[in-house]
Amino acid sequence: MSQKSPADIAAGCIRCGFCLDACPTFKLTANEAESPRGRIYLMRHLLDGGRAMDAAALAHLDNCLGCRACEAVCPSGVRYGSLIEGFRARIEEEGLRPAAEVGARGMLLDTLTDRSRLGASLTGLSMVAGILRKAPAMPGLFARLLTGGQSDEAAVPLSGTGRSGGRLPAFTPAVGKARRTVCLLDGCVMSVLFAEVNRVTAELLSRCGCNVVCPRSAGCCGALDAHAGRRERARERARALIDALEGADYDALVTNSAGCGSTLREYGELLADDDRYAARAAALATRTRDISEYLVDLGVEPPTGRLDVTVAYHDACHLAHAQRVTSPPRALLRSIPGLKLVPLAESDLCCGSAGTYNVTHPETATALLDRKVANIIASGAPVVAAGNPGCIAWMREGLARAGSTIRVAHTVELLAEAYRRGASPYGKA
Amino acid sequence: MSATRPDMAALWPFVADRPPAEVVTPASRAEAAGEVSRALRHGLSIVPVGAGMRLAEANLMRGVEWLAIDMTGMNRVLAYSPDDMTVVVEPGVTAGALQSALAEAGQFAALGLGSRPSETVGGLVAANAQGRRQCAYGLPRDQLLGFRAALSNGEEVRFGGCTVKNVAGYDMGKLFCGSHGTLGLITELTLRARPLPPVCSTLSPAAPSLADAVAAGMALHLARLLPTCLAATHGVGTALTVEFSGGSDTVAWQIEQARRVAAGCGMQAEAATPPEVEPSPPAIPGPGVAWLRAATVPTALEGLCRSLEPCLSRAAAHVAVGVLEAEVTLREPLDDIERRLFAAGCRHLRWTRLPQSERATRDAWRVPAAQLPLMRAVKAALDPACAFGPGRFAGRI
Amino acid sequence: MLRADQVLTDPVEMLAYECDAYTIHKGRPDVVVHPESTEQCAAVVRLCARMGVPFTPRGTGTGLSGGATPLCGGVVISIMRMNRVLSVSPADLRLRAQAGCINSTITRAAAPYGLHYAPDPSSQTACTVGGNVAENASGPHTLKYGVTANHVSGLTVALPDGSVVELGSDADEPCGYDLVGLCVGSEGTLGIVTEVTVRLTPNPRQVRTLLAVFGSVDDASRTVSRIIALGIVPCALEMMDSIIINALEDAFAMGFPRDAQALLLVELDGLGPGLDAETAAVRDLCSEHNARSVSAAASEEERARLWFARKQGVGVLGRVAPNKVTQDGLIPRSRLPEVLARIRAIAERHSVRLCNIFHAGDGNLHPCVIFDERDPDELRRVLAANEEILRLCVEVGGSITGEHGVGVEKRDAMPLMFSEADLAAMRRVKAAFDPAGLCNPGKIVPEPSAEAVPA
Repeated sequence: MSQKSPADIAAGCIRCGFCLDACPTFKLTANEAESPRGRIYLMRHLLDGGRAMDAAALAHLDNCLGCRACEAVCPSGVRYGSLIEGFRARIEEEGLRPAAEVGARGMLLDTLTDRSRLGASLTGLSMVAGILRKAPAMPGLFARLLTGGQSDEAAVPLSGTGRSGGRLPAFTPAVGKARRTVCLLDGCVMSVLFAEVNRVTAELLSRCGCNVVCPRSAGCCGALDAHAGRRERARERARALIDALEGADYDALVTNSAGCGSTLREYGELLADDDRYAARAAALATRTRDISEYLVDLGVEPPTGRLDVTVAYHDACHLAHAQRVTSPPRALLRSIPGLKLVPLAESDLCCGSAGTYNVTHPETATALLDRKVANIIASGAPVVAAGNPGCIAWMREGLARAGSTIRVAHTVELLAEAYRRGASPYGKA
Repeated sequence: MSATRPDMAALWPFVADRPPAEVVTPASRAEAAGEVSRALRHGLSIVPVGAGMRLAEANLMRGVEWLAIDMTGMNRVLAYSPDDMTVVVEPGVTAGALQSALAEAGQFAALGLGSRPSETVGGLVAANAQGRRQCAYGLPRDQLLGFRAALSNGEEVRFGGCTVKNVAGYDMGKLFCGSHGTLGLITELTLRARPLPPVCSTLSPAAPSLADAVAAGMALHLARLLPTCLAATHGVGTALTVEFSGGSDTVAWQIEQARRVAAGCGMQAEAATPPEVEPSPPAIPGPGVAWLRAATVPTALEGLCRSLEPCLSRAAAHVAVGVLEAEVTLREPLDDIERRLFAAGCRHLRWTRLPQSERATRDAWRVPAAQLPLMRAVKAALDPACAFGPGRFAGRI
Repeated sequence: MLRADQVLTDPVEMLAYECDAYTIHKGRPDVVVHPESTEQCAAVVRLCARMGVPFTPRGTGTGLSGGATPLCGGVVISIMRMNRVLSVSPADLRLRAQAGCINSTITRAAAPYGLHYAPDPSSQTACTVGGNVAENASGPHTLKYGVTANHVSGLTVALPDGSVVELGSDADEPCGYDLVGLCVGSEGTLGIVTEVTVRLTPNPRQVRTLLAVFGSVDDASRTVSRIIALGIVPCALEMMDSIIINALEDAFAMGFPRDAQALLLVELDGLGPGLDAETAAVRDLCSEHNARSVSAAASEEERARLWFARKQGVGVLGRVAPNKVTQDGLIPRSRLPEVLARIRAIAERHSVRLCNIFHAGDGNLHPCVIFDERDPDELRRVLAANEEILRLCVEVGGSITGEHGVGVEKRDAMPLMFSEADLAAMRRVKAAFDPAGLCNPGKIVPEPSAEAVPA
């Protein structure tokens, strides 16, 4: 995949406006400068030199959640995600942001993407958040956010996720005869905050006849950096991950985090101009699959255990829009005996989490969260499922704040629970 | 066809407070435009006349000398393209003549399908009049693609075109439909044609009362079949008339469905002689009765019918479009009837025939007053000399 | 009158409002306001009227003729915070919504009752019903179900003097002059529509969707003419040519044969009985005209996929070339084969790349010329070819616009269709509503030309 210049990408926009009603910030503000078309138009003017980057322009670009809902509806195929990320990289490279903000953003990202620092630095982070929001820090809220909202017992998913962190074993053998070998990234945020989700993912894969490898040296994929415009940092992380997976033998690279999956699938583009890595990056990208997609493609036996529960499904932006994975998770949920899947209004509207957006733009993020929470409550379902850790944590936070006992679970947690309850062994193995 | 036209001299008292200074019968567009110019030069007002059946629908014109332009001399089909399904006609062509021209190519135009084939196409457009098939095809406003007209500034204009869609410029055709000749003299019309359905079949179960027939009609409306007529009718007897048109399979199937729905409403027996689906108000209003056309929504129609029960003599309630056309016997003040209708949910009302005694004081249109200033401005824009039927339109515009 | 967050004035924000989906003419507003009610909207208009400031209504700006472009600057009045469905009356087949309500939101609100809103422009997931009213929008299913004007019965309008008037009602027919009919398609030049009462249409019980593949455009267009002439009324009859087919293949891998010269998408609907016979008749007609294959959508998913292809068909051209101009000519349907051939000849003569994707059943052509505006010579040739195509449409008895509106794009082409007397009458109607000329100025009707001779 060649790397198109921002000017070329922007030129693909024919201003049809199809993206407007898909864009969360436009929906909230009705301001076209807060729409994808408006932002592309602005970027065109900045690229032409017709307008200098000033604080107002910067704000409109920063306000973008990067949810890429616009890409999913764009008939011209404008690669908006690449465009805005490229632009954000330029903002960082050209030093267009106030120094204090750059430092705070960097600290936030470094901490979130570093397993060893994340667990111990919640207090420091809430301070960072204070700088970014230009408002008093709210350690309580922030801590709950980072701990996946599990301070409220009601938010604990059905499977009773434990709180202990930790990584997966380097090798988990398939139950029965191995059909495939899968590399599972246990990620950065995931391994600390959602270790249980990682464990059930590995368990599911293993029960479905996959050997699961989890290279010890594999670290952060660089998704948060890429989304925030720290392109060089993202590229470093990508190279490191490619190196880490170099020796591993696997059929597919599977993730249970939508944000990571979408970045991994775009590695080819991220490293297109790196002669040493371009080919390997592209190869890795083509082997990347979301867990839901992979299980459906694998053709697993439906669980026999019942979960008599009504579930609404939230489409994580980086799963639905960036990876266009919308039916596999629903198919998996529907395969669970007793489970009733009900529609969720605006299911693919961003919940506001959006990587670090809920820290940098709390007002917008909270407005979107309130809307998401209202839609979830209106669905009548006591459980909402999603496929991205950021969304899950943020929605738990919102539901808890609204005094709701609705549970938020990762799709694979519900699936694993159903298998566990079933008498028969998993899968066809 | 003009032989069936009522005696014009007897009609004039229902058009104006004095007979026309002259009656002219142009035979071409140029002649028609010439007559308009001549009238303007002589300070005459103008009333276009077709078959004369609806002249008494509009208000009485008072205090002006006027010229009657009889359009029945312009009665040709000018161009008909069956492949495009469009037809260009002069306004004086009768509905009957138009339909037989189109029928040769297996088509029809959705206007003037009622019981009076002698009405002119220009007259039907000017009155925006549609009968029983409004639910399937809409009004003349929905059939008109383009037209020419002579205006009172002496200019001839052409709007729309001969294509089935067109958004070039303001849709003036909508204004002329239903304007009763008060904006200009229509001299040419382009209409949409449609394929003639191979089969047309009717069911007319008898009903105990008009309101019951409307209720059954509502049940049919909710069954979401595709009737080309769904009318509760009342006259000598009461019935619900349902008509389906189209391929034989779909018509037969729908008739069967309709029969079931009607039976479910307790209406099984076919009416021996169902009342007219399109009761025709007379060209010349009689004393002691009035005709009205009330528009509402389907769910309010039954209430409208009930509100008229004490004075109703003939009626057709077009259920799917919420239109009630009725003849009422005037044993009480018209104001009382109006009040009951509006209390029952009538949205707007037109008295299509009033006894001469009422016409001096009563506007035939009950249009919300807030819209009248705009209507007056539109009239002034298109008829700057105020020559076309001054005072004949809603609000005595 | 308004809160601070309802008013935008930052120059960066004004940039986003300087044009709609038609980008050749631009105008930068001074202020953008977001009223939240009819009353607020009227108050803004009153202020504009008092101060003599021009104002332009705007929805999502998906229009293709510059209708929402504030040519003379002034105030852009966005209807986007008036976006709610107000009421649904399923038995009366009526729905009332604020003007900023998205077209597809209306259909979603009607769906639980088995109803839908029939006008379905390709932009229906983004465009507003207020914008649809302004442009008298239509879509593929217009062929059977009619345009916006056939589906709107009542409007609330903030008039250019700032007063508010209710036009029409929820009843089926107009009373007095049909001011609703006049306002539909008036491109926001007679006032600002703030609420709309629309007609809802029952969903068809059965639908058959056919895809016919042709080796020549000529065969496909003759098939269209024959279907219409035989008196079959499909609910949609759409055509796409080889450039579009290949662009769709590149983008979405639809599985269309890349060497096909034309695709016809034919949809028939009805109650059920007789529908198969009608479908068979269309199949036969396609085969008689050398269709390489005719296939029917086997499932709702397949049908949705075919319509997805059709609705993405214009936008997908963004992948083929940086710029495109979509024409909107309308022609009598029987002239389709001839006109398509002549358009092809025009394109060849001017050496421009032209493709066709259009509502064949209505005779509504959308010849798209694709180009790169950075090449000035190509741009010049494109504009010349465009003008010739417009003239051709008028010459065969058609119109310069079937659904996109005149706006600013085709304002100066209006004399191709209309005499000075016609245009003068339109100007007088405009002045009847807007004597000060502040409401969306510079649209639809050109200024009287100096050399115009009064008739």
